[in-house]
Amino acid sequence: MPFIESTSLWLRALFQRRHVETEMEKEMRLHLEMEIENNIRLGMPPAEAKRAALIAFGGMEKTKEAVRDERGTRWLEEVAADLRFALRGFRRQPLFTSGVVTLIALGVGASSAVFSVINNLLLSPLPFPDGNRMVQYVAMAGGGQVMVTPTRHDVDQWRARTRLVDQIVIVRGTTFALGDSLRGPTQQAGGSFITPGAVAFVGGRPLIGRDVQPSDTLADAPPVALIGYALWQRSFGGRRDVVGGAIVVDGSQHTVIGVLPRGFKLPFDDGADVFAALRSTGGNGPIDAMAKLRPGVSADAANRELKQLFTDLDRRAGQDPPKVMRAADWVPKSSKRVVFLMFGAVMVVLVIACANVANLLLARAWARQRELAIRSAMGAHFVRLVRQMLTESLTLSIAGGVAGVAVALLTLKLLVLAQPEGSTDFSGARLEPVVLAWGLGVCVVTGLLFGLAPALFVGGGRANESLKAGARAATGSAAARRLRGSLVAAEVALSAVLLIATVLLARTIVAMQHADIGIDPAGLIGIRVSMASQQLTDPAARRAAVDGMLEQVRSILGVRGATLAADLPPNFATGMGELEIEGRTTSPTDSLSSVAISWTRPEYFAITGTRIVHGRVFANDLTAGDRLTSTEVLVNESFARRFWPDGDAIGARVRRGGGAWSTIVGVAADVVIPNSRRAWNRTQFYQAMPAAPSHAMLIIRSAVPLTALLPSIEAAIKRASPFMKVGRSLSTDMILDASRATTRFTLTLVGGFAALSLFLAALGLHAVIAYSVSQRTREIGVRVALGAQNSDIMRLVIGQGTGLALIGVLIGAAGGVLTARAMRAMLYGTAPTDPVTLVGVSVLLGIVAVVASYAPARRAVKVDPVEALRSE
Amino acid sequence: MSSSSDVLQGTLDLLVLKALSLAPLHGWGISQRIQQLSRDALQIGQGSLYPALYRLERKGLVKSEWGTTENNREAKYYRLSAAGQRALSDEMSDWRRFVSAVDLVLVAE
Repeated sequence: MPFIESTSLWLRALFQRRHVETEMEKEMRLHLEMEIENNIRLGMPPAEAKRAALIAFGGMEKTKEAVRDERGTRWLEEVAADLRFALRGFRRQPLFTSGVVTLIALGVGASSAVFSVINNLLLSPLPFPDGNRMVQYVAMAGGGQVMVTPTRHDVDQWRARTRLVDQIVIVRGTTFALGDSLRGPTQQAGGSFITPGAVAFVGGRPLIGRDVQPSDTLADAPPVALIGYALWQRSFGGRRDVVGGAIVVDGSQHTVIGVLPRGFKLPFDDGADVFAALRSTGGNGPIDAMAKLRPGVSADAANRELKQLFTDLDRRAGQDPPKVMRAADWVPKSSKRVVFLMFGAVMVVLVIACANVANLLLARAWARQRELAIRSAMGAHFVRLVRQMLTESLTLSIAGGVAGVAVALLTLKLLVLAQPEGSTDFSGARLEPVVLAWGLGVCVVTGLLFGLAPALFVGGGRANESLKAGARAATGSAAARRLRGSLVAAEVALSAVLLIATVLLARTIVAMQHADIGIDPAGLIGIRVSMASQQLTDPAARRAAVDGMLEQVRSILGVRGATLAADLPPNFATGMGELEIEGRTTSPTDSLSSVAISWTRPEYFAITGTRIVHGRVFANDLTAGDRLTSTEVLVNESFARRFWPDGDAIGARVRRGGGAWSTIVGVAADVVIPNSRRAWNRTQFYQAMPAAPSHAMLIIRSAVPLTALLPSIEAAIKRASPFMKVGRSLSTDMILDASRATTRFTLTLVGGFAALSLFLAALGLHAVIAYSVSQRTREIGVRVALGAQNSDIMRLVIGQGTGLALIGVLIGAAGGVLTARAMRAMLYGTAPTDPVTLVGVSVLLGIVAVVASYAPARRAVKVDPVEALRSE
Repeated sequence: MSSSSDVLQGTLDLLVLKALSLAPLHGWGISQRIQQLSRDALQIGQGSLYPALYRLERKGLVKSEWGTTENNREAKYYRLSAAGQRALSDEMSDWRRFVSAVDLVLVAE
C-alpha cells in the first residue's frame, strides 16, 4: 500500500515535525562521524579527517533543506507560517483589520441580500416539478392593457388545437363555506374547483382515495371533493374512513373521494383545504387556466401559437388574443424597475466598498515596501513574498465573507419587512449560496489585485531603490498617489449618483403628495355594500333599503355627505366594450376598447370635489329600478380635449359595445393617481347609477377617521336593512398611500444605500488625505519654514480633499443625470436634470469633503517645521 | 564523473536501489557501497543522497527503520520494499536499453 504509507509518512512529517527533524539531524551526524572514522582509518590525522569529511558532506543546512523539500509538507508549513504572520500583523493594526473586514462584510452582505431578492422575483421558477414550464393562460382586453377572466370555451378551444403545451387544467380559486348552516355554524375553507389532472399538474397524487376523474365533471355527476391534509387532521382527526363520507360545501352535499398529502397546493393560489371537481355546468365565476410548455418550447412560441389559433377562429373581432404568462411575467414592470434600481444601488455600494478596501490595502502596502524590500534582499523568494501577500488578503476576505453572511441575513430580513404591501411579494427570498459566493468572489479578487501590488512592486526590481531611498521611500510613487486619488474620486462620483437618485425620488414623493388629483382626498372614504341577498330581489324593496341606508348614514355625526358610486375615487370601474363616437371612426390606437367608468349619483361631484369644467351633471335617473337607462354621460377633460379640441364635446353622442347612444352633458376634471400609467385613465366616464343597484360603494365625506366612523356606519346600514352586507372599507388616502408605497420603498432602499455610500466615500476621502498629510510632513515643514500661515496649510490640505471631491462630483453629476433618465418612469413632478437636485448634491458632497479633510488639515497645521526638517 | 551533481537524478535513484538490493544499509553505507562497486568512480554527495532517500521512501520504494551498527551505534537502516524491488528491475532494463541506444549512437561513424 504505497499510498497509505506515503500518506502516513506525510502526516508524520507534518504533525511530528520535531521528532522527524531530530531523526534527520541524528542520521546526518552519524554519517559525518562514520566518514571521519573512515578517514582516520585511511591514515589521516584527526583534524584533517574532520575537515575532509565536512568538505565531502557539503553544506549541512543546505542538505537539510533539500531533505525537507522532499517531505512534501513544506508548502503547508509555509502557509501556516504566513497565516501566523498575517494574524500577528492584523493584531498590530486592529483599525485597519476591522475596517477592511467591515467593508467586505457590508459589500458582500448587502449585495447578496439584494441578489437573493432578484433571484426570488425574477429568476426562480415556481417551486414545483417542471415549475419552469408552468404558464398561466390569460385573456386580454383593452388593447393588451387589461387582463380579463378566460372563458372555459376558449380554454377548451386551446386544448383541442395547441401543439406546444400540454396538461391544460382549469382551476377556480375560491373560499368555500364548510358545514351545514341549518345545523350549525359554517367555517371558511380556502380551496379551488379543479378539473382532472390538476393534482398531477403539480406532481401530486392523493394520499388516500382517488383523484378527480373526467366522469366527475359531467353536468349530472354527483358532486365530489378532495380534502387537504390540514383540514383532514383538523376536522376529521386524520381518520381514513373519511373517504366515501360526506362534506357540505357551499350548501350542497359532496362526497369526499380522497385526501391530499401534507403541504399540497396549486400554483398562483394558497387555499388548500377543499378541492371540488369543477363540473361542466359549474356556474360562472373567474377561472384560471394553467398549462405546461412542452420541453424546449418558449413562452414566446406559445404566445405566437395562441395568437394564430385565435385569429384563425376569427370570432372575436376587436378583442385581443390571449396569452400565457410565466411566474416571472406576473412581476409588474414597476416592481422590476425597483428591483433593477436596487441592483444598481447595491452594486454601487459594493464597488465603493471594494475601492475602499483597495485603498486601505494599497496604503498599507506602500507603508510596507521597506519591509518587503528587506525580506527580498535577505533571500526571500519572489513567489514566497507573493504567497505571503495572498495569504493576508485571502484571510481578510474570508473573515469579511463570514461577517457578510450575517449582514446578508439581516439585510434580507429588513428588506422583507420593508417591502410595500400589496406589491410583488418576495418574502420567499432565501440567501442563495451561489449569490453569496459571487459577492465574496468580487471581494477576494479586489483583495488579491490590490494586496499583490506591493509584492509585484518589489518583484519588479525596485527593491533597491526602496532601500536606498530610506525613510523617504514611503511617499510611494506618483503613480500610486494618482491611483489612490482616482479611487476616491470614483467613490465620490458613485455616491453622487445614488444621492441624486435619492433626492429625485424624495422630490417625486413630495410632488405626488401635493399633486392635484382632481378630487379632494381628505376624509373621503368608501364602503362596499351588497344588496344581492334573496330578500332584496324585488327592485322596490332594494331601492327602499338603499334610500334608507343613505338617509341613516347622512344622519351620523361627522358625515358631511354620502352617495353611491361604482368605486371610490380615484378608482373607477372598468367598462368593457368598444367605445364609439357618433359620426367618427376611431382607430385601435385610441385604446377605446375599455373605459374607466363610474356609475354614480348627481351629488357625487360635490361630495368628492370633482370639478365640472363644462356643462352640467347628468339627471338623476331613478325611474327604472335596477336597470341602466340613463342617456346622459359626463366625460373627463382629457377625453373631451382629445376628440373635441375646439371645446364642443357637449351634445356629442357616444355608446359602448354597440348599446344605446348617450349624450355628453358635461365635462369633469381629470381624476388621476400621480405617477400611475394606466392608459384607460385617459378615458373617464360618469353615468347615472340605477336607483336599486345590487352592489355599490357607499361614498362618504367624513370629518372623522375611517376607523372611528366605521362602527356607526355599519350599525346604520343594518338599521336600514338587515339583509344588506357590508364589505371592505377603505379611504382615498389609503389608495393614494398605496400608490406611493413602491416609490417610498424604493426611496428607503436607495436612500439607505446612498447614505452608506456617502459614509464610505467620506471614509475613503479622509483616509487618502490623512495619509497624504503624513507623507507630506516634510514638505509642509518647508512651507511653514518659508512663512506659510496656518490658513495656507489648511487651504492646501482641504483644497486637496475638495479637489478630489470636485472631480468626483463632476463625473457623478453626469452619471446621475444618465441614471435619472433611465429611471424616468419612476419620477413624477421632477426632471432628471433637476438643477436643485444637482446643485444640492454637489454642495452636500463639497461639505462632506471639507469635513473629511478637516481633521488631517488640523494635523498638518500642527507640524513643527524644525522637527519635520530634522527627521530627514 | 566524480561529483554528485553530475549524476542524473533518475540514475541516482537507480544506484541507491541497486545498492540496497543486496542488503539493508544506512546512509553512509549506501554511499560507501556505491563508491566501492563503481571502484571509486562514483562518489555520492550527501546533499543529493539524503533527499533521494526521503524521496524513495515517500514513493514507498524503500523503507527505513532504526537499528544498530557493527560498532553498536544507532543508525537508520534503509531496505528495499517489494515495490522497490519491482522498480529496480524495471529501471535496470530501462537503463540498459538507454545505454545500448546511446552506444549505438556513439559507435556510428
